[in-house]
Amino acid sequence: MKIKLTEEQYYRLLVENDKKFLNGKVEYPHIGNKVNKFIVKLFNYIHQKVGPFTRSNSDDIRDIITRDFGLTRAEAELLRHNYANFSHDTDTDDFSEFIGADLEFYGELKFNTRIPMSAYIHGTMDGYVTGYATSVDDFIDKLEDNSWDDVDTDWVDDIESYPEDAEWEIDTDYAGDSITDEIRDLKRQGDEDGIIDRIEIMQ
Amino acid sequence: MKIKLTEEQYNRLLVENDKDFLDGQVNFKHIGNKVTPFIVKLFNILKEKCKDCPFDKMMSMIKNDFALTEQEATLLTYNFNNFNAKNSFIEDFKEVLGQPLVYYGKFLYDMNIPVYGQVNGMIDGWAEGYGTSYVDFLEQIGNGDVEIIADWSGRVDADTYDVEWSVDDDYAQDQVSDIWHEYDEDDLSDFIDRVSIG
Repeated sequence: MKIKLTEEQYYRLLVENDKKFLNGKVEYPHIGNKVNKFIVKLFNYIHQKVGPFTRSNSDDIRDIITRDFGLTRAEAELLRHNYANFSHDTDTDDFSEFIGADLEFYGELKFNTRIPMSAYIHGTMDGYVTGYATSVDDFIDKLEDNSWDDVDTDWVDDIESYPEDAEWEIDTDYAGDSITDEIRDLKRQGDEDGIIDRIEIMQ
Repeated sequence: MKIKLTEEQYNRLLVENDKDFLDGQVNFKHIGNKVTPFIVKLFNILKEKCKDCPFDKMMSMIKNDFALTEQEATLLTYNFNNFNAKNSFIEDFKEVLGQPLVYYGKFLYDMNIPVYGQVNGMIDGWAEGYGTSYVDFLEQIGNGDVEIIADWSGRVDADTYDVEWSVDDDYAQDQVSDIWHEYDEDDLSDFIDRVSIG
């Protein structure tokens, strides 16, 4: 028996499959988007090894998933997050009761942007060292003893600088603010699609 | 009657005049190189009004009350302290009338000064974080719960023309300490060529 679907129904079915997350944008090689028997076994194993999720066993859980079950880091992050959710909701030590339940997507995302940077550059220019003295010899003694008065320049000549040697660093304070401002501006302009186009999901 | 002088005597006389300091390289508008009645009066007033003042205060008093230049005031303050140090019980500076004043002033050695300035620029990169959805991720960006990563394979776009430069004091200090090693102690002519007085 053949079943006819409208185009809308067909696309909905695609989205509602049991493999993909985030409207079909993400899927993993070893796990789907629902709790299956394998995941129940994995959760039970974790529970037996380290107990319910806590902040202190978080790294251990991820390591167990990648090492003992051969899953990718991205799969481990997602399963650890869901294990935390499920173990938070129940006192059970058998996760069979969650079979067929939806897994919540949890993964690494990145928003492509321009990063503000800062660096110090160095150079030299004509200037002078000054000091008070009773004679040239006395001045020499003061230079030698480091008891001169000031090093300065008239700031009138060109600076010979070497910008190519600058050691750039992310201007961390400004970077945080500038990304937040950028997102707010795009939202204000109603350009949510523009934001999403610049987000990549890491797998 | 005319007196004949050798060149050496003539030059010596030039040096030994009562105006100049440092072999004729420096002279001042209002004071000579010896203690005059005017300077005696100045020193006596200074002793009466400002004997224990710090150097700067003495200097500014001389400058303001006697309408002398900063350089003259610096030299006289140094000499006032010098006379006091040598003769701890000077009651009246008349006793040093006619004595030579020691030169004391500002010397300047020309050198290359190290400077530095902060520059800012932009590079391609991204904000990275974990989330359950785009909306969740955007919230994390808003809260600053993301890691900011620069793509170091790119080039930083920077404006290096609008830099606020400052003297690199630490490095400059090291350079000044090294000046002495650049010259031969027996021939300081190259050093002296780079020194200005005043």
